Amino acid sequence: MADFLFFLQQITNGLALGAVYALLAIGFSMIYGILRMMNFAHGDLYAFATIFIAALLIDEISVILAIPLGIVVGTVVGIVIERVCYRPLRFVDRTIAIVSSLGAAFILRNGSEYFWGVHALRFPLLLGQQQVPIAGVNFPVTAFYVIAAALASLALFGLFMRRSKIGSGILFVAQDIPTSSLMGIPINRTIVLVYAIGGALSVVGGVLYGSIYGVVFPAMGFPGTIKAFVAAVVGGIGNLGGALIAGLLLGVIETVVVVYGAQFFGMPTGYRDAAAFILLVVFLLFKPTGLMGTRVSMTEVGAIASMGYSAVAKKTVRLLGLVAVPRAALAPAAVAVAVLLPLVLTDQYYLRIISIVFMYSIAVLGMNLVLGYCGQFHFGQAGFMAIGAYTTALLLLHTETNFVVALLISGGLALVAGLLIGIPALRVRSDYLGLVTFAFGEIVRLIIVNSEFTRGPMGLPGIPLPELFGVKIVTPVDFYYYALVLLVLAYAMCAQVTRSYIGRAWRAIYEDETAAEAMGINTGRYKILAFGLACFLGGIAGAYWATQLRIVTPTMFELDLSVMVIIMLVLGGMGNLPGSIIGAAIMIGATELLRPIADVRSAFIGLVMILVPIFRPQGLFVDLGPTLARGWARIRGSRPTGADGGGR
Amino acid sequence: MLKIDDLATGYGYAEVLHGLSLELNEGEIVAVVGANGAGKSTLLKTISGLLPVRRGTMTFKGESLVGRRPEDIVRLGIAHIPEGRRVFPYSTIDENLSVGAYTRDDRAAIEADRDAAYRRFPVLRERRDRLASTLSGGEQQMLAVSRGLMSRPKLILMDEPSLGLSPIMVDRVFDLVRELNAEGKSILLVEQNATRALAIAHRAYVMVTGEIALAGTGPELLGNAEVQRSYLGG
Amino acid sequence: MTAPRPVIFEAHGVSKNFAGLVAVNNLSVRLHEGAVLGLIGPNGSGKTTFFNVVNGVYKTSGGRVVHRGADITDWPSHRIAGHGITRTFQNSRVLLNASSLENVMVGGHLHARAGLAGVLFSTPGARSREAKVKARALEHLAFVGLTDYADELARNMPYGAIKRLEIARALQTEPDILMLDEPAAGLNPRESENLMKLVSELHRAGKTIFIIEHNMRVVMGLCQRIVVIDAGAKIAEGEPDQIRRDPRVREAYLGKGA
Repeated sequence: MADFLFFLQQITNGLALGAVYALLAIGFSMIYGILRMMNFAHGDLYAFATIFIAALLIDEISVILAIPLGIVVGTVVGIVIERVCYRPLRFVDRTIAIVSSLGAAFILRNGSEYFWGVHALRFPLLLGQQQVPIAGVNFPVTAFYVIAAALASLALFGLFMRRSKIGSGILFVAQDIPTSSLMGIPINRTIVLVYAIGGALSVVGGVLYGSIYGVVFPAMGFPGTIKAFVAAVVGGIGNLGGALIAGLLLGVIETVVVVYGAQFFGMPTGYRDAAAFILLVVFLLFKPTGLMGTRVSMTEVGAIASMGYSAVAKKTVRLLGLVAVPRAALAPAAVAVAVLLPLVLTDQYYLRIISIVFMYSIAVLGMNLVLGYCGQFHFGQAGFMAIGAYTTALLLLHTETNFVVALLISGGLALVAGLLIGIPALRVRSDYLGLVTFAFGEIVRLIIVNSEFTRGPMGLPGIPLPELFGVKIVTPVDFYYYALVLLVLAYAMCAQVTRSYIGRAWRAIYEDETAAEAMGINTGRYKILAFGLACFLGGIAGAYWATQLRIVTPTMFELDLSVMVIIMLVLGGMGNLPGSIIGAAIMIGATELLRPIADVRSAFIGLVMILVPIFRPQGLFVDLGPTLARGWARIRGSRPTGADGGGR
Repeated sequence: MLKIDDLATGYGYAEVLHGLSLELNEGEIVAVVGANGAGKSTLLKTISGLLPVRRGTMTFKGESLVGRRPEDIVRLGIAHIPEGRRVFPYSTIDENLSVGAYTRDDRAAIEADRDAAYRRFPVLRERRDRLASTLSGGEQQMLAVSRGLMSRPKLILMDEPSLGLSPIMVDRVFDLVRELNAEGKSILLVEQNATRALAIAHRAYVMVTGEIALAGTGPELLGNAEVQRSYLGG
Repeated sequence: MTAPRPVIFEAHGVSKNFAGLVAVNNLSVRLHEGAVLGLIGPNGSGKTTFFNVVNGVYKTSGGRVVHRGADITDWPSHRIAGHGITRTFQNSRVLLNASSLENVMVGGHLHARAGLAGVLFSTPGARSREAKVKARALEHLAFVGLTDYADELARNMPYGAIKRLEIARALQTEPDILMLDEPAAGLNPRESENLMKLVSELHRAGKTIFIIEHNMRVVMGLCQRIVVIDAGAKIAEGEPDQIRRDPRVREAYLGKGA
């Protein structure tokens, strides 16, 4: 009996947490359902506004004033995100819009850290902490208040959608945008409203979160986004009732798994988030349309319409300088310069930095294959880099393995891990690969933090120096050459593959999957190939990193790393191999240069992530290749032949 | 009332209308007929602001329509009843009718218009609380027309209203077009079913690959061999 | 007329429903080797849906599709292409950001496959395959009259050229049967006439062609046989003259009483 009551108590707590998730998920689901846009700034918006409220309350401003002010902030931020990150990009490639929303997330996160510090702020337990003892188990009354408050705000929202003219517009726009505009519904204003309401609801969720746990902190933002995403997908995208139920369910499952996992299996509570992700992956495999089915255009008929739309969207804006001109003379010249560089540049600090640029370049090249060429979402390169780094670290620390062998094993393991999650995810829908890889990166990190063999947060220090044929790699110059060799090999691999029939198949898949299939391309197989190679290169990059730093820690592989790699890719230009190296160089260079203003650095980077897509969605350096090639052709006095320049 | 001169538009890289001119006077039924692919639907989408004008002019009661957003065009008094009905499947019939009056604020009058719609089509009243996706094709067409009327338009653009309907429903739809015209609505009717459309139209245009090939009164064109050729070749 | 050639493609009672809506209803079609078969019907009668079902874009709701003795019903598209049936699309789905030549080479995918190792190490086998595909692609570009555009990005090409490019790409798969979905849609009269000349050249070159086309003048001039569908079901089949006189066809197109 007591056991059962304890269980009920956990369910109640879970429902309270779930109510918060539901409030977050509804806004996320609306935006995703109507616009097919994944708003990765959603959770950081909620964190930002909630911390703002906490700060006001700490300054002893009345709750009556602070909460409405916070909701206004959330609403305004939502509107700004729509206006700046989405509207200019609505008909641009979706990957680009994701980068821009990640940029907004960076700015919000950095903003709240800048104004209110990185640490947790106390949040008053607005709904009290009463507990009613029943048969020896204390029932948290607060939880009921939280659930009631969440349901009340949802009811208000529902009333607004039903009763107000502008609110009702949302319901119609979600079903059919062109016909809605024929009814006289202003589409742009309605979409702004969706973002505004999403923002406001998430702030209510944040207030409730603070009231449950008594603290709010900047890092709560990203998990918020992921939970919203998970609940939106499980509930059926665009299905708001589904999002509500899925949010509640997620809260309950998480709570139950954590409490009983700790009780019976001694599972560290750090696995809380992993539990949710694993649940999601399993769920997607068995019921990809979501718990309640998707209401908006997910039937086959709807798919036809959306296919047409995405074809138009894809074709109108171009990301890539797909003309992969070989620059036959350029590549050897670049390598020669790189080889000779240490003779001129003797400052070890710079050599170390450049080696790190090379390491990043390898990871970005991998991302380029899958995102830039094949157009499949992969957002979790950090996870594969971590696998590579830890594999190499463990092999070199505990065995006599040669580092070259360790390197290959590292890449191989990352590849295998990639296939294990990629094959089922891609079988369902390409979008889900993005979600699954995101989650995977976090799971890998959680496992590392919570495991014995990785020594948890302390990491693995003292990795032996690599050695080849009796020659030890010791100095920064040695490492520079080691990194250079890896980069040249990786680049050569990517160049060979992308200019072969495989690269053509990827580009065909990127632009038009149906047409690619009609030409005999087994699209599933080639997507997996791109993804597998990306994971492999991620593993290699991680393995190198471990040997250069001689230590690996979980903090190296936080989500920021995955995001960083994507930014490098987008900056350099998707589908543009030299761009990957340039993008890495710019970002690492900027990080170093911005050291003096470290406290606003990530906001600055966020700004770049928003501005580049608006002004140059094709990347900063997309025209570089063709321009150089044209120049070279002029020198030779001939026109370049063929898009792949004779296929040498 | 509606005057279009040298209009060009298209999708992406394809130009679909290449310099089309057309006129409609108040109180008229004007039919635009032609084989599919001729650009008839494109014409209506351009008038209602769904597609941008690339060249040419378009005025309604002396006001230019070029560059206006669809919602403004609805407010000017033009309703577009799209091809394939496009009712909102997950909304009830009642809601579908209400959204048709989105640009209006006179609640009582909206209510009266909805009642009028239900009087016209009692079958809709019977199912007013059901989702529109549960209606048959013909009933959806009734709903789409009624929804379009809810904005109190002066000009109605009808895109293939008889498409995919049973013969009885087709009769009903053409009767409805006449009925609406008798009530004072001007109508620009795009139809594949040329015989029927020409029979009820005051004037008509025959479109071939984005241009007007022929113009005349309905009965004139009805007997014209050229019209048949534009459809069946030869 | 030549002696009857063997039937190489047959659809038996193919149906397709979308959420209860019947888009294709028990449609049977036979295609003789070397023939040009037209599929016509009013807007929304299910022509493209039928193409999509035959090509594996959609799963059938009923019926069978047979090509040269193999039951290809519900095969994935790429496998059907591998078996010798390829198509073009109504809205011209070429790669706008690739050159013409590359676009056509995409069609050579099945003939270029050399394996990852072959590509990475640039084996002689892989190189010769690639060279062959490229040479063949140039031939196909020449055939459709796009040699001058070989290096041009598709996005910079006029629409008429893009339509031809799509045909060249389809030819590059070396198909047994070429399915053309409204190749003249969106073209001006002159471009459309040129395109049709191209299709008749293909026919003379011995290709088996299955074509959806709106322009009746074109269809009547091109096809030996025509299948007419309305509301997803076949309402007539025969030679162009028969079809033109058929009252059911007139009714479907022009409405009752024509």
